[in-house]
Amino acid sequence: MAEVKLKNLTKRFKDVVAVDNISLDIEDGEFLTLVGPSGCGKSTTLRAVAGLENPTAGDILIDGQRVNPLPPQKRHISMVFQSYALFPHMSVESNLAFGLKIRKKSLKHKSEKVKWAIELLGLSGFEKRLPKELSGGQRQRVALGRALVLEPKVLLLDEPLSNLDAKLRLRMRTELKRLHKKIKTTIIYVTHDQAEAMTLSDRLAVMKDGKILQVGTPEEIYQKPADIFCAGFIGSPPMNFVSGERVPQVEDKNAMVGIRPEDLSISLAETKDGIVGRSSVTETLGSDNYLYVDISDLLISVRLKPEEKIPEDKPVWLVARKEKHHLFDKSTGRRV
Amino acid sequence: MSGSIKPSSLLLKLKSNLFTIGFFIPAFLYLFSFFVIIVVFLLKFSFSGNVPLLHLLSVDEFKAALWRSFWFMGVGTPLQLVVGLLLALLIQQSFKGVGMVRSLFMIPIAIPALVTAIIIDLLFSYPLGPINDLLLGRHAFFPQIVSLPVNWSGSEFLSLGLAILGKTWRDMPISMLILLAGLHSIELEQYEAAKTMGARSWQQFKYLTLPLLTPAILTILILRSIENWKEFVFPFVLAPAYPLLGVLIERLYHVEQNPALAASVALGLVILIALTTLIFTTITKMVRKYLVRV
Amino acid sequence: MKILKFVLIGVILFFIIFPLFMMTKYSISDRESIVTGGEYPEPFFPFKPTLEMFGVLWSRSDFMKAGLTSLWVGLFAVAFSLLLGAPTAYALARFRIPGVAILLFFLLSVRLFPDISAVIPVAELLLSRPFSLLPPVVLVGLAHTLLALPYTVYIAKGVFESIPRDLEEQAFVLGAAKSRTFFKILTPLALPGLGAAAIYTFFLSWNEFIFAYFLTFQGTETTLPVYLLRILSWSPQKNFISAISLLICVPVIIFTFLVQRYMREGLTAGAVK
Ligand SMILES: Nc1ncnc2c1ncn2[C@@H]1O[C@H](COP(=O)(O)OP(=O)(O)O)[C@@H](O)[C@H]1O
Ligand SMILES: [Mg+2]
Repeated sequence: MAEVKLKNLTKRFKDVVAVDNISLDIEDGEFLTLVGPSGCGKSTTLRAVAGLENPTAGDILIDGQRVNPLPPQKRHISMVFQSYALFPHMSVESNLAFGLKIRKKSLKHKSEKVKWAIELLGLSGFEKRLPKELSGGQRQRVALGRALVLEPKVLLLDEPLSNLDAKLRLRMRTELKRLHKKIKTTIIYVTHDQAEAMTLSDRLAVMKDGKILQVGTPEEIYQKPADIFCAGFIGSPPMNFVSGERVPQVEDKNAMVGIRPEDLSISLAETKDGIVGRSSVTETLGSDNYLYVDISDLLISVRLKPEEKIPEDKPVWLVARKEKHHLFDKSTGRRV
Repeated sequence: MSGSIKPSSLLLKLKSNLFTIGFFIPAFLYLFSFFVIIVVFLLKFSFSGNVPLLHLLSVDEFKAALWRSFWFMGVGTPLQLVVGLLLALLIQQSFKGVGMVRSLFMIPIAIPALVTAIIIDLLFSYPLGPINDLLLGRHAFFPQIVSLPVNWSGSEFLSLGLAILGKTWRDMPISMLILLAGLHSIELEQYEAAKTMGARSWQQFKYLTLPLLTPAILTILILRSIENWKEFVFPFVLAPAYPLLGVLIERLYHVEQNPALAASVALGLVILIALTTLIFTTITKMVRKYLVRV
Repeated sequence: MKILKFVLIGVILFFIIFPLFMMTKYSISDRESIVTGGEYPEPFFPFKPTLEMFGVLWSRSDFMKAGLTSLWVGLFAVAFSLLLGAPTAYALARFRIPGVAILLFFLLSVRLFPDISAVIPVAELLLSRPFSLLPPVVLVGLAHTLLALPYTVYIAKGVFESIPRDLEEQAFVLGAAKSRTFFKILTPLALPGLGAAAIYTFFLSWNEFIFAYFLTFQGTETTLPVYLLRILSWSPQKNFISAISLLICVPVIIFTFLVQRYMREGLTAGAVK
């Protein structure tokens, strides 16, 4: 177990700045997620920690030791790849034992560790199978087990669930979370799926264009997004944004006002401070119903209370309590 | 396209099939008739001649040629595999100018085999030639290695060696391409995973590259051994005094005017190749089985 | 590691280029540079480079005749194998043919014979009546068609498969007959790809030695490679033989670069056979 520090890390590929001067402290035993749209530099950051990319500038510290000059195997990390990168010609057992074999561990240690991983991940009965004879979820678990048997101080996971179907993805999410509780390794997790990031992480770091915009617990980021991008990226359906001049309660007319769908109340009668619009379709996401309201050029999503029904194409008034408004500077996008 | 077949649609179907057959038949017929002619002629000749196929082994000329061909195949095949592997590994990862290097590596296959053989003959000519110049230490930059010029074509070992060299030089792009395709089928992430688990370059080669390349390697062993068994041009030009099976066939046909015996040897060669292919395919299956379960 | 790699690439490039360089050097060598009498080593660049040999070849009728023969044989092989192969490839690419795997096997099986074995029956057949009445160009062209046809079918099949089916169906819907569709609509679209097959065939024929050698063993009309071999038996000078070799190689090298992609496909198609 270990803490990881990134200090002013930058990685440039010819003309692309993939990672742009980021600093991040990850605590011992923490589950930290790098989340952001595809191409924002998450994988590159992770690969720099693993030692697969050489940073252009900045330092990486694991347990206080600067690891920049160290090759991957000396960093006490393990990595799980998006494609799993299982060795297609080796059985589950051999895949699990590969790292230990390279590290010349004793036969006894090897078989104990492999057995441990097989039990931990529920793979018993599949020891002799080849990767191609496994289901997606099983492959995923072999990849995870292969990383865990090396007892890494830091476990690096690059979109490990993105190749699974939706149902399996949810199940593996829970399994991963349970696993982390059990082994308490520091985990750096990369995903572009904000829901995954929210449910799994102790803290998350929202990235965009190679920069970290905000670091915090899921609640902090959800409730106090530091940036208009974070506000829009985290949460589903996403936060609504309305220009300040259209919201009567807001004084700063130059600000952008963000309101989450669940913070809006809706009425068919004219409401004080309400924004008027026309009701449009209702979307049902299982337990929750969301109504879309047309306010001239914008579609605003509103979470309806259970049993609340609004007919289509009727004038409606929307209002949110003032403390639920998130104000952002229009030019910088930062929270004001 | 399915459903009940009415007479009119049946007719239509027949018409369209006739069209298909009409398209397909000419090339098929051409190749197939040659196939039949070759088989029939070879069999007819080799059983009508005064040395039936089964008695070939009692012909000294044949035995000597068979032995030489065997060595030519046995030495040439692994050599060509290793050279192909080296070339493929060198251009496996892309770098600036890799396309150019690959194109240059392709040149030998463009040169006619006969021309290649003749250039080698010129380079290794006796008593005066560039290689002999070099070995005799006549250039300031190269140490003297021999005191008398080497008569390459006068020695069985050297002349067949040159033939193997020529064959290897000209055909190296073929093995390279097949191995390159095999290498590119191994994902980069697999190497990276191995790297994070501590595997060094040679361990990656041993545990990943080599086993995953086995199918390509076995393909090459089969193709190359066939090619080497049937080689004609290089030994014909570079080692005429020490005929391989291919050269023997030509000599029997043209010089000794014995088409029957030539056909017998030709058929023998076909059988040898079939046997070699069979053996290698069996080995392939066994190795695959072994590799699959580590 | 990186340095070692580039050094190795350099060494291999040297071994690839060196023989070709020497061939070129010999072809422009003056007498002193090749007839040394053992008094000094052959220079790595001629003392007095000269294009004399090319002039000599230009004025030699036997060389020019061999060149023309090669050209005609190649063109014959191209025309004949495209004429036979393109429709077959089209049928393979478009129509479901029962037992197509077996048919394909037979299509390719003729190439399973080593050339040096197959050439005996082919020569026996083509050099006896009535075939022997045909001009040598046609005989060698027929043999080269035999060699090239499987590759032509293979390449052309890929070409037709890459042309969207919709196009033809559109034509059918508009009422065109199948044969008309093939000739009027598909052939022009397939032309660049078929051109590659043609080039491949031409140079297969241009480089081919064994069949040309056996089929023109006695006559005077022969292809360039066989001509080159006949010259060799007179023990000619290095510059003369090298100039001929160079002239045979140059077009092939140029075109190999141009149609490299198809070359690669052709070569790996050989791997599948
Ligand atoms: N090896 C590379 N060479 C050049 N550009 C790269 C390389 N790897 C990543 N990039 C670029 O860096 C940026 C960040 O990539 P990446 O870290 O993979 O994003 P993410 O994982 O967040 O989707 C992208 O614009 C990508 O195109
Ligand atoms: Mg990524």
